[in-house]
Amino acid sequence: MFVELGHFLLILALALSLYQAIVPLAGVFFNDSRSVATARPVAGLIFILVALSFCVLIHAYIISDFSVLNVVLNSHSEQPLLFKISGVWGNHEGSMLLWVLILTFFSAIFAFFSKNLPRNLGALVLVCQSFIAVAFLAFILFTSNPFQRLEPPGLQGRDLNPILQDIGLSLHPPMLYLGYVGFSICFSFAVATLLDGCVDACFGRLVRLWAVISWIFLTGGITMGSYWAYYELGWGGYWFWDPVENASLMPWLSGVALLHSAIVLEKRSSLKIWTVLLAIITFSLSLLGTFLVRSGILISVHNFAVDSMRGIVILCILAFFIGGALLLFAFRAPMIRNSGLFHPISREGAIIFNNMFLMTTVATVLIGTLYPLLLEVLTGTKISVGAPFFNWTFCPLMLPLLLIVPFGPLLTWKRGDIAIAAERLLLSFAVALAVLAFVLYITEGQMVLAAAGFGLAFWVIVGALTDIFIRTGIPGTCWTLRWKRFRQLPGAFWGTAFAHVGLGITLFGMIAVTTFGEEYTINIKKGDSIAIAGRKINFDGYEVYNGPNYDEHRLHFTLTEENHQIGHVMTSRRFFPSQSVQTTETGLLWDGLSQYYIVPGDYIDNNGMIIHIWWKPQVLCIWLGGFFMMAGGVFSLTDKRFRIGVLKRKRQRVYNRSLK
Amino acid sequence: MRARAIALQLRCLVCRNETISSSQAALARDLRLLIRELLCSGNSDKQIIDFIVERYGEYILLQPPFEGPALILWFFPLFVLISSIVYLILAVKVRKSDTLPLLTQKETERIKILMQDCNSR
Repeated sequence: MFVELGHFLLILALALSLYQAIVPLAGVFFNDSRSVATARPVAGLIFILVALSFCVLIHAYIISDFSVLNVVLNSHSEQPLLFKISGVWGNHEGSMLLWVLILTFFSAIFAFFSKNLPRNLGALVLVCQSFIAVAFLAFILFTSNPFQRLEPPGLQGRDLNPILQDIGLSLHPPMLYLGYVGFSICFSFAVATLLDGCVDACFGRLVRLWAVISWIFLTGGITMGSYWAYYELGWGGYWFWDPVENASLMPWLSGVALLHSAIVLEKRSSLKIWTVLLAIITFSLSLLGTFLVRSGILISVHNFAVDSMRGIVILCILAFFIGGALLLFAFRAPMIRNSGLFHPISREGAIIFNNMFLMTTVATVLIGTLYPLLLEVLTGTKISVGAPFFNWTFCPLMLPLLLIVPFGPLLTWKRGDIAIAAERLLLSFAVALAVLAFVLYITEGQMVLAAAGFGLAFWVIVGALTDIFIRTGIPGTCWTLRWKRFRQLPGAFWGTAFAHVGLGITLFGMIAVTTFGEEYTINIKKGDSIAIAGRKINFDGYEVYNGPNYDEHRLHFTLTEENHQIGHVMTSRRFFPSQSVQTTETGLLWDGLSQYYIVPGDYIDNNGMIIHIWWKPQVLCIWLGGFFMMAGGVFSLTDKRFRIGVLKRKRQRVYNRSLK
Repeated sequence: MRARAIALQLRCLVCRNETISSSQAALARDLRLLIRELLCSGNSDKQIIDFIVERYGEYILLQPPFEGPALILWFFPLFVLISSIVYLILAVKVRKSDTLPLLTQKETERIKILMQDCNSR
């Protein structure tokens, strides 16, 4: 009964979305303000319906209702509660529902805060959002219904894929989807602006606001997903250039380009056409990501369902939205006029440089991901485009971008002076050179590329810090005054500083791991030890342990330095009887920002076994940098300019109160 | 060392996106052993890779070959970058030759009025 209610609520949401896609649109065309005005409240209502429907599905998972096909396939009554809940989106149907839930959530939030927008523009954004919602709700209801009953009901569930039984699943997909789907607002905004309205500073500000919000979540999702893959898969890597990872990287890169170009639009009313196009491209890439993952067209650990019908439907949705938006763009873009002129060497110029390289990288990743598919369709040859290709193309493209990062914020708008910026960056340059020389010295001149990489990381970090120094005064400014100014620096400034420092930190972590990391695969017996990174790891033997829905062999290791015990670490091999699947649980021993990483391999005989062991110096910097970038995004959101009208409203409230 | 370098270039066919070197699947282990044996019997790196590609198809190579249709793939980034640079240069040139009036008519009139105000004061 409950489950049917959920199904019904979803159908109701589809009907309301249809209403919202048509009626306010007609209202805009026929100038009927009443039907236009319905757009905002209906957006909230659709969200409530989808949210309730989602709750019904969660409820079915919690009580392990095995009369529902989806629950039978992806849950198990003995599973811990957390995994029962996260299992809701650990499968195709549930994750599509989550996607739509987030879409309608953003529509509702947008509707709530769009009071100050011109009414038609706000309604058109919601109309466009509803079109997307209709497409995906219909997709869920007709091809992948999570509320499908099973007759007769199952006795026991088939369990969630053991790799997914982890706290990572509870956080990573929702975060990632918040990022992916958040860009839909930018997309809808661009479409609405092309239909009605003008591309002005207000457009720039709002697109940037939503781009930053989505980008924060996307960064979080990717960072978390990367760490999850790192410790869960037990391959010792943090990025595999897996097609699905690429699918999330592309909107991320494009989002970075968008939130930079939107600044130019907002402050200098230039790059208008380009920003509109970027807003469309970014969400198109999110949609493409959804298609790649959900259609099962790719070879990857991420796809849950292989069903060609679904693939075709998503492809049609994709073609409709991307094609439609680009067509609209082609018709309307010539009417947009840029007004801000600028010299190539200026902050605008730096941002164009940034956009050019970022979008070239996006194009590279895109072709690398799609090329094997295209080639197979066209010629039938099967090839693989793996990590080497991406490393060879991605890194050279990132290099000029990273070199230019510290220059950007130091150049002035309109017409910059590269000599002054260079002079201010002398310190960063010196630090970078010193680091380069130091690394060359300790590696005895062996690692030239790595040394350059370390230098580059410090160039980016110190360059961003230099900006703080410059903004608070000239050399010789007294420190009290500096402190005062330091506290008054705007949120947008801190956003830039944190994000750029984060970039440097991530780069530092990646290069440190690749350069100084150690890896061993050894055959080990109880009592044996292995020397790694100047220390010793001793194998203390193993024990058998019974978990809630698995059995595991726990292997214990001790880390010692000159016979002093420093740490203890456990790694294990789990066996899940319900799916007869084995997984490994990585043993991680933290040492500051570095880690020892141990994974059990095969058993040889009673006591001996193969283990893989890594020393990962400064590895945590990779993800720490991600958090810095997110913090940058949050700071950027606190900037005063996003709170226009707040003071005015507050004053009005005080005024009203004094009248009473 | 050489065996590992070769294994790093090959894709595990069972795990899909792992190298032979890091994969724990049985097939990957067999291939690692095969590489070692072939090395010991005096084959060059290229001979071994060719041998394995012949047996399993080009799909097993993680890095697409630098020849034939894959060249499109390799040169695509460069192509995009160069064409965007060319586009930018053209855009700058067009803008320079474009004699846009700096102010719209409305603005010119407004300035005239303002200037008159100043002069009369």
